[in-house]
Amino acid sequence: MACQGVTIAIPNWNHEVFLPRSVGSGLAAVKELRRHGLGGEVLVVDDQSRDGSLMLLRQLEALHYADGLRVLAQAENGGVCRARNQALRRARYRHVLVMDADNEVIPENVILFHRALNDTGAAVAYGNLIVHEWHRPKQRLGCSETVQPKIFAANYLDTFSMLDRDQALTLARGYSPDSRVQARGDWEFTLSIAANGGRMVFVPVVIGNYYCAPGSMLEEQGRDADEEALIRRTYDQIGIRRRLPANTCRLRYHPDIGYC
Amino acid sequence: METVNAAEPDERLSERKARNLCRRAPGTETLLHEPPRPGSVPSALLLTAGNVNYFYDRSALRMAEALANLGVDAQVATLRDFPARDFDCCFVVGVGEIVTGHCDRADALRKLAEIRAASRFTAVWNFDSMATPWFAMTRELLGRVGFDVLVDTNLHSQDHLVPWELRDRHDSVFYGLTRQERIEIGRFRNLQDAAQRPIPWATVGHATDARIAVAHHLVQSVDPSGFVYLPPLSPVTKDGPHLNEQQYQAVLRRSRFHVWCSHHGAFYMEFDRFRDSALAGGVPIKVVFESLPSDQDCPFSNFLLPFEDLAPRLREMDFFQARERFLAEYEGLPTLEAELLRFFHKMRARGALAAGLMELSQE
Repeated sequence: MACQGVTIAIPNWNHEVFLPRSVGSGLAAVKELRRHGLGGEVLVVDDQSRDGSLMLLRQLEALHYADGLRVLAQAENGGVCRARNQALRRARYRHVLVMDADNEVIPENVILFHRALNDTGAAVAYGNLIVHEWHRPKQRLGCSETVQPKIFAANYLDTFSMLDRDQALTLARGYSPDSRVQARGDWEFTLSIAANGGRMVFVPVVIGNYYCAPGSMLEEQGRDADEEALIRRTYDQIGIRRRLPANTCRLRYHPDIGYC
Repeated sequence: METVNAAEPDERLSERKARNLCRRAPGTETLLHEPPRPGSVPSALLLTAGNVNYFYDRSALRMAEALANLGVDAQVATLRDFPARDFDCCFVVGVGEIVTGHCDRADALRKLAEIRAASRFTAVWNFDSMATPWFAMTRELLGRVGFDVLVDTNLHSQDHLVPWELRDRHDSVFYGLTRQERIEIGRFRNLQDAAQRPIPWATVGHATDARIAVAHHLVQSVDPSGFVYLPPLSPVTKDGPHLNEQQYQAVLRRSRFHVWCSHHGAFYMEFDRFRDSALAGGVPIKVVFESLPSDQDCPFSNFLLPFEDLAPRLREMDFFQARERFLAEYEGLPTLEAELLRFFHKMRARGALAAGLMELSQE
């Protein structure tokens, strides 16, 4: 079941117009992986979309099943974290690249993250994101530094990363289904991995393009103070984390160089 | 043997002229190998911050190495550990960083005055673009610390940017490879090491809009699998996010092209980037957003690419041919030893040198 390869997991909720870009990049990545003798699939978990996503996904699945596309339709809307967890549980491969439905993975680079996880045994491998904001003509860079103790004070990482499914499900028990931390689910997950001794390596290549569309979940909700306070209370209530030893601190790894 | 400028004591030698002379005078450096005569060894103190950025400390160490090759007893120190003795000359390497790194500005200025009093000749070395705020800090400090000459050290001339009050006390030194470094880069000549360089390009530095645009462009239009490390700007500390010198070299040794652009708007040749590329056997590519210099003597012009030409030029560039061209050009430029010797000749002509160094420059 869990042979060498990568599942590209894309939770979707009403992102019909973005799906051709995200799924297309995922399928191109699968092609690249297969070229290197590895397995690959794109697993889209539709979270009860109402915008025509599911019909499009079924058509795409019919066309590209042999190319590695699988679609799961949730019976009821459960939020993005539950959809990600579903993808983790249903993935064919141990390494799962999690991305949003409006993002785009760089196909050629997926294998570098797969190799990084294999080489290091880390729970998470993540890389640079080229961030495109709809209101800003210039791109910025996201997730461009290592995990450091400051991550307990504020988030600077996105969920767009490759996970070792087994560690993700055992160390952090997947993404939190708590509805109170949905918009900060990526941060909550990162802290859970770190607090439970998992390792996260920064791979210094570009993993993908991150598009901030107007009205996205984060933008809509803004910086929810209650949500952040809850996460801080869970993981660093008295601000002592930065003084505690951590398994994941400043880990930079490139499979063609080693730790660097 | 042809010497650099001994015949022209009163004439200010332009960078261009000096470089041409050095190109024609490979034998110049034979002077450097002669061991100092007992009892007449000139001494030099190279003062560096030691706690700000390894770049300055490395510059001080390189100059110390070159001075030692010239027969000078060169010692690198900081304001915290400098020896209380007289020196024939003192090279202040990055005065702004020295004062900033010392934390107590008044104490730093006091100690600099103390060192100045114990040195027969003091040169403040500038490694920054003269069009930036960092040089403005140097300029402000120059009014407070005593010095004999401000030396601009780079791969290209910044003479046109020298402030009016410093024109009489200013000189330029081409920041070339040391003799040892020149030998080291020779091992990459005609070497087929493609298998050792799986990374197509690498870009490293703190994040700026321009650097992110370069990285994005390279990913999109050249090769997506380049090495990108552009963390947010933060102080260079032991625990900071920066690559240290060894890590940086490890990256470059596995990469073919080393691509960067300045983090400010003024044209500037980042000499350490060129040097690091050469020592790692890579090819430097400086992306230029500003207008290219009109100075015909600016070296490595084949490796200065306007942003709009970056992708097509890089796609068609043959790595091995480009490296051969780059290394050959570097080897043809003056060494740091030859340039320091030329500098001493000039200072002698100005009557600024102490006896020991005068002797050295007369050899």
